[in-house]
Amino acid sequence: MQSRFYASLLLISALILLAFVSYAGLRELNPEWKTYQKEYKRLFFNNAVTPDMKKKAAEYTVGIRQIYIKDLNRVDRCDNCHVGVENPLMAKEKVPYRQHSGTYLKDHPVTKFGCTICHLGQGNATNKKEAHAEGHDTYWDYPILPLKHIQSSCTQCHNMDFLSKHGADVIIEGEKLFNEKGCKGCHKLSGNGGVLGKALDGVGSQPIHYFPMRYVEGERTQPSWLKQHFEDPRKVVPESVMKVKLTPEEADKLTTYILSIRTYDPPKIYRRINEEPIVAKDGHALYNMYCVACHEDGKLSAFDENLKGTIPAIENPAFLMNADDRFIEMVVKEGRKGTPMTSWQLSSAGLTDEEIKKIVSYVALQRGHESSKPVSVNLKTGDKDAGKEIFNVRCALCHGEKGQGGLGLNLANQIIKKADDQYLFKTIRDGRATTPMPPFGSTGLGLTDQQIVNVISYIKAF
Amino acid sequence: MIVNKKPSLQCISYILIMVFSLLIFSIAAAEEGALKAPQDDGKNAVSVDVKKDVQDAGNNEAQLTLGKKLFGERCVVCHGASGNGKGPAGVIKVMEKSGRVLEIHPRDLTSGTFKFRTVSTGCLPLDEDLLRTITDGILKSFMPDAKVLKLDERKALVAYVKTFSPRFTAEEPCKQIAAKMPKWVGSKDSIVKGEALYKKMKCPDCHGNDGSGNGPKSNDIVDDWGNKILPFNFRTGNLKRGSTPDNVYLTFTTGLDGSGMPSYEDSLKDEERWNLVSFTLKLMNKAEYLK
Amino acid sequence: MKKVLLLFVLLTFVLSGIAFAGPYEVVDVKGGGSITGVVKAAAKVADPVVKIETTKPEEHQLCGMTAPSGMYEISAGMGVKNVLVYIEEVPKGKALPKMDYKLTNLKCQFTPLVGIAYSGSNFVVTNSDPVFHNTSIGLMVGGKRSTVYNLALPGKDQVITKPVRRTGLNSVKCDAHPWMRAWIYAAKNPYATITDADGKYEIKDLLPGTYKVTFFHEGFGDVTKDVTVAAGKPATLDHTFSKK
Repeated sequence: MQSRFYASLLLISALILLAFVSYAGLRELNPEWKTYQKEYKRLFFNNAVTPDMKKKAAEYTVGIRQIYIKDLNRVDRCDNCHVGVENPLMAKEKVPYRQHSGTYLKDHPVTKFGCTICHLGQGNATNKKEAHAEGHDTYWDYPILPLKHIQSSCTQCHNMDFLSKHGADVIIEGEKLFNEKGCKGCHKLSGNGGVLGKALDGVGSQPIHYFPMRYVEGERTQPSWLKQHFEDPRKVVPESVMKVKLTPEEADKLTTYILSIRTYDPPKIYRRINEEPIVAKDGHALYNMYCVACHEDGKLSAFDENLKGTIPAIENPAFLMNADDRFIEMVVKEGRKGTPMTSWQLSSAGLTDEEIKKIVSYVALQRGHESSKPVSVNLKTGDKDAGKEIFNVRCALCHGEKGQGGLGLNLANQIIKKADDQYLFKTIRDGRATTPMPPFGSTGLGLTDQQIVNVISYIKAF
Repeated sequence: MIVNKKPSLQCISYILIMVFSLLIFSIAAAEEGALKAPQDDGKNAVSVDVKKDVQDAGNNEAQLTLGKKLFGERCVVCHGASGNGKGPAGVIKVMEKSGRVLEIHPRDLTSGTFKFRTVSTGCLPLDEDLLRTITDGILKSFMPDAKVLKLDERKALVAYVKTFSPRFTAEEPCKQIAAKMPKWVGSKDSIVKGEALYKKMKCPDCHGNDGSGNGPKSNDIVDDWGNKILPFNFRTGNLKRGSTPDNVYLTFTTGLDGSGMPSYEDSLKDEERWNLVSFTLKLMNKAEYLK
Repeated sequence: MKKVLLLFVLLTFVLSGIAFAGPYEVVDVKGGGSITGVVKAAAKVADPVVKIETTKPEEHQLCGMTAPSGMYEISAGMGVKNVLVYIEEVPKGKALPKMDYKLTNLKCQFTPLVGIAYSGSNFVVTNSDPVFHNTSIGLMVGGKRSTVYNLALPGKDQVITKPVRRTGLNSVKCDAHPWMRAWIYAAKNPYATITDADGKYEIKDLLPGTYKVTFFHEGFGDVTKDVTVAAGKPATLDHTFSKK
């Protein structure tokens, strides 16, 4: 009995193994691309009108093929499925049989460029899932580039001037958004920019695992992450302090631009560049590039819950009246330690003195003609202890007991130490109109001039 | 109050009151030294009260002077010397994480309308309500806490704040609403019920389906002073009065007078309001307050 | 000694309560005088149209796109309807009627638009719409609003009853529908009325004396006039509003 049981068990196992092996073998004999190529041959033959073409179609052989481009060090096997990309007879067929759209292949022949230099994805793969590599479950680093972001590949060989003359509107607008929304206020790129966010060099070539995908909806790919981050920064990175939010259309364009920031440079023979005249950016453009993300138009003084502090209204006339260019330049150059305000000089955020001067003059354009009367302030007469007493009751509510800031600005930094006594005196005495900083002088909350001097002595010692 | 009586009677009663009051005050003052404070004798409690009243009458002026001094130092900057909420600091603007800008107008103390109370809508806040707000401050609005002040000083501030509105002398205090949290608040069942109530009570009209304060009515709301105000965003949320279950419950029950938030004391049963607390605590991610 | 003291204290509290908090005293009025008059407009004013501005389609379905405001209802003889006529301070007079004030939210409007509620009675607020309303009654003090009640009425046929506590002119609004409005004069004496379609009004049973009569209209504003009433006779007090 027992031997009969084992014999039948052996038989069943053998049959299962046979079935499995035959299935695997059959599958190998009939891969995904073969089906496409057979169908392609049929369509080719049907669409051919002249006998000459019919002959060509009949001569088409089904078989695996690849494009090897030595200069780019690439092997692309995409045309095993996308068989008709160079065949004009396939212009009206469905993907993957269809001819490549536009006239791009005329200037970028497949034999010289291959496919993945523009479209990304895994050129070596011979099935769709691996080749397109969309999402984490394929375990490939670089998925295929969605067509709406395809212009991000153009910058590898072309510069913006060339692209603007050849209809690459998406990436041109993307770059404009990048410059005007103040991305570089927080993100460094090519050596200049702020330090609050991650540097963007090569971000377009980063593999999928560089981006935390936990909160990403839909396809978990680089473009999805970027787009969703631009639409709502805290959706994909809950702890993000990024302020800028874009509409879905803007987010798409900026994503295209960001994806173009890559580390790989194709060999020189591939590049086609217009001689772009180098135009130095003016103060307004620089302000947009580096300042606008936080300061916006410089008129709103609001406590920002992301940055946990008040972003000063730098275009406030009451501020500009008391602060001279020299002071503003110092703040831009040195930043304000203990606040998100970065030091912008060459050695930190990478702006030249000339650029900083341009930004300062742009900010100062809003200054009225009226200037405040000079006052004589003698700090030597200041009594620090008396100042402390006043500070703790009157100022600490907003500026913090140690001057660390809150609703009021951070006072415990080198800028306050270096600031002109007159500037501090007038600010405390007259307040800052349209902000919560009230006038503390005799016309306001009733501090005497001497008391104000005492407070200044105290805050200078933080 | 309306009473049916002859006019001459009223004159007599006036005189009588004067005489009685004088008499009591003199007796009480005379006995002040001799009276001991009995602890448990019900009858004596009244006389102790009298004594306290008399002392208060004497202290009142000193208390108000202290209150005025403290108010001048700490409160005038926002609430103004006349208490009308138009101090030199002006309107405070806060940009929320979502990007919307809230405009915070310091309370106009002269109208006697206060948001954070433990009494029904329309009622004056109790002294302890005002004391709590002064002591703890108001989250997010930059009304600072006053924990550096002694209790007496804070009480003096309460007394002084009450002088800005005639309501405090003209009206009787209302009965306090006790927030007694049932044990089941925060349970799954209660959250589900609360979510249904959130929809049924049309909370999303203002606060949005996901509680982020962007409902279809969110841009239409103005407060008693004609200032545009925005509904609370549960998603980024710390409730201004504090996010403990009691405070959430009291907000639903008392409404926030002066703002657009109405009282649900009559529209929802006590139990239903607690269900709503369960759900909104979840929205605010403040379930830890239940432990 | 202590018992006497206790008695005194109690007496003081009771009597002071009566004497100080009772500016209006109820007496029998026999053969009192009255005030009659007509409130007119100097010129016809077009009744503004209320735009129903809402992003919720179901509210448009219920309440339409526009509605007449009913602010200026002026008769052929130039009489103005819905003017509140009241005497704020009357030292003594007849008893207040016990009459609840019914205010209904109907098709995104308050009904009635103006009216008089009496101290000692109740507001009875009803929502007859299947949409959310909140009824916020606010006392106008020195041009500023001070919330008296802010009641949530999220469902159809919800009714809330609240006592009339603070007296004076109240503006009623609904935070969810900014166009909704109503006016209620919460009276501490019975000497208040509203004008009829011809602009006529009558205030009866006043003891002889001089009174300050206030006319309030939401569009024209308010005015206060003196009038002397003699026993058993009607005094006449007219007013003509002109648009500012």
